[in-house]
Amino acid sequence: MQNGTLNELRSAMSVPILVYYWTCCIAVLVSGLLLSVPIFIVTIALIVIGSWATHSVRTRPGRLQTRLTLTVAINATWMFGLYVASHVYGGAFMLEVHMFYFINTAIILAFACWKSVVLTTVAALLHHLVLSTIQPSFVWPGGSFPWIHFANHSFLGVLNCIGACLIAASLKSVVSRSEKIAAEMRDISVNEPLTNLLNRRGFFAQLDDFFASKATSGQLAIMAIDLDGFKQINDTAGHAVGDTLLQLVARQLLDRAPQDAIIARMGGDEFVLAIPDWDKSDVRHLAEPFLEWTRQPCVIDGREVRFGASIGVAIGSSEATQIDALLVDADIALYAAKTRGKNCVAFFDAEMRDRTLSTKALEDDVLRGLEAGEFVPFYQTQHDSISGRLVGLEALARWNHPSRGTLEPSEFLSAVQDIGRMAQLDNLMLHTACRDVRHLEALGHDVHELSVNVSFSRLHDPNLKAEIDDLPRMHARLMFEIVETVILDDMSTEQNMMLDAMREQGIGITIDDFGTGHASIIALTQILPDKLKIDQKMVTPAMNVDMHESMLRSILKMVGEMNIKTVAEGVEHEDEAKLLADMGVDQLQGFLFSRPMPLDDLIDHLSRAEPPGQILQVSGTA
Amino acid sequence: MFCDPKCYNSSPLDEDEQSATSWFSPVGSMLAIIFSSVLLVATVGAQKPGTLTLAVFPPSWGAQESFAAASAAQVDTVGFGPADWLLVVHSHDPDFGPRLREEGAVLLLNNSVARFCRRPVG
Repeated sequence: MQNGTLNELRSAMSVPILVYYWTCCIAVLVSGLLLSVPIFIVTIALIVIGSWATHSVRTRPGRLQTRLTLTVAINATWMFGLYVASHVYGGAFMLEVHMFYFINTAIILAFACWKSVVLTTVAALLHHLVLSTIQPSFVWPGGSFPWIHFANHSFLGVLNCIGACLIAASLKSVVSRSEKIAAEMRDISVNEPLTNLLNRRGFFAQLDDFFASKATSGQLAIMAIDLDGFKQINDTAGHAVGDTLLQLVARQLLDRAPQDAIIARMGGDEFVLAIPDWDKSDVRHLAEPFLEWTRQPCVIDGREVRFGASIGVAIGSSEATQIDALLVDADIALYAAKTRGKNCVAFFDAEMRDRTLSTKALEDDVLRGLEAGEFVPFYQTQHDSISGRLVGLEALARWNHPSRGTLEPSEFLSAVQDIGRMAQLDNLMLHTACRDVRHLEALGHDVHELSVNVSFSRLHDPNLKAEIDDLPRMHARLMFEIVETVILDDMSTEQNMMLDAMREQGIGITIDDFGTGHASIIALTQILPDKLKIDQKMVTPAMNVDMHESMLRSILKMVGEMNIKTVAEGVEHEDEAKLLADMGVDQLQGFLFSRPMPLDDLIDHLSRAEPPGQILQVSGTA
Repeated sequence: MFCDPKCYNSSPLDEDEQSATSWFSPVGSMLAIIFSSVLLVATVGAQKPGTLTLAVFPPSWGAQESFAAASAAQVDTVGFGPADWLLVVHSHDPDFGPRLREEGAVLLLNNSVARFCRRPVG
């Protein structure tokens, strides 16, 4: 609000000026009483004017009318003061009372209002004109040369008025300029410069204003919008194109949203709209055409840009206390829209909240579990398909949950990924497993190979090589199992280089869950893994269906010719083991041999095992 | 909300600054105060014996009625003021003021005003 400070100054000055007025009134009336001057009319007049001025100051402080009223009131004090003075020594002291005009001008200056100054001057000159015309002896001592006196008074009065006006205008200018700067600063602090929409701070400030001005509590719709594929546009087309796209989106939102909507860019490609008194149907009428617009390619700086948007909507009571919950709900709905395949609108419901709360609780629990060291490796043995002797161990992550018991990765792995702690978990498993294998080796057990699952994303991690260097030394060969569900065809040069570096450190590469994911034959030739783990989903059908058996045999023949060893997972029966061995599978792993078990059980298991050459039978912990 | 500058410019106080009606009552009051204060000053010394006094009668009165009232108050009518209900009177009697009031004079103004307003009779 421009002139806010000036008006505050004027409002604040009204009070002392009002006090000054009443003080002058008391002085005039007490003087009248002491001098036995009839002051009934004066008293009534001053009380009426003073009450009016007081009322104005209380109801409309700082307004022009209030300032002018106070100006009139203050001038009334010396005008009526003249009446009292006219009774003293035949009006000999009236000139002294006139001097109050200059004091009043100085006081009126405090309003920084030239209009008040002009009114004061005009009032004084008019009063002089009338009084000197009909009663010159009261105005000009001696009563001589009245017009010279009047001209002198007029000249000095006008000069005083001009000077006072200049001071008032300068004061106003200084206050206004400082206020303009403050307004610009405020503007910068609540708007973000790229789209000129409100920023996060501005959004909440505007909401506060909305709640403060709202008489009734209706509905409030919150739309959380996130652009799909924006990062790729920034990465491939450049930030200039990305910025222009954000401006286009902001313009679209402004054009489509109602006048009373509060629209903000909360950061990056996130936009939020708060729309009063809108229901689901209204939101759909905005969201669907907007989504349709986002599906159309945009041409920015000659580049065709394709993107989308996901929208989460929460509608609730427009009360200040509910707003935080509504924003959270809209974010939850936005997440749901993203998981439903993006470029769609999702409305919040209670089920979404429960799901999110339980996910959040799991994520918090995972963090606590990582800090408490509740994640441990379990081990499952791997065996030579012909001799049955132990040829390796696979370390499998387990969570020893204090209340839920031992949990398998399917129950916590996605939460670990979502909170970005996969590297920490991988590292923990690696270190613990290597240390355990060293312990086994110290007990005289030859493990041969230790397989550990490593998430595909770790291949981007520049710290991985250093972490491998820090692993406890052991005789067994370390094998990294990379899950095949990732698109191995799309492996970057960096990732291939990381695999080569690991090979140089003596680490073997195993492609896990082969047959269930996306790896092509070409990818196999590029990665050239040491081992392929054939998933149970391929193994089990091959026992019963000829076609599956033929397919498995073909795969085994192909990878055999590429000198890639094979491990069959999920072997549960002896006939399966025999058939797989017959088909040429090199190694077997499954409940037939052992269930995943903790280190202590593994030590017992290995100690009870038959001598090499015999198939180790099922035992261990489920 | 797209924040155009007018968000920060519009204010009822600014509109008030432009309004001419803000001046009406203060200026009217100022004129009333000037008039009444000058009038009050002009009452000082109005009943001094041997000087001219302007007797103000109710404006609804005509010249005859005002003149009759002055005669009843036993004062000399020296002339009329700008209106028929304004009479310039003279008396050496120190009690002429209260008598004029008893006969209906609303206000008695002093010698300076009386000389300023005087116009000769008939």
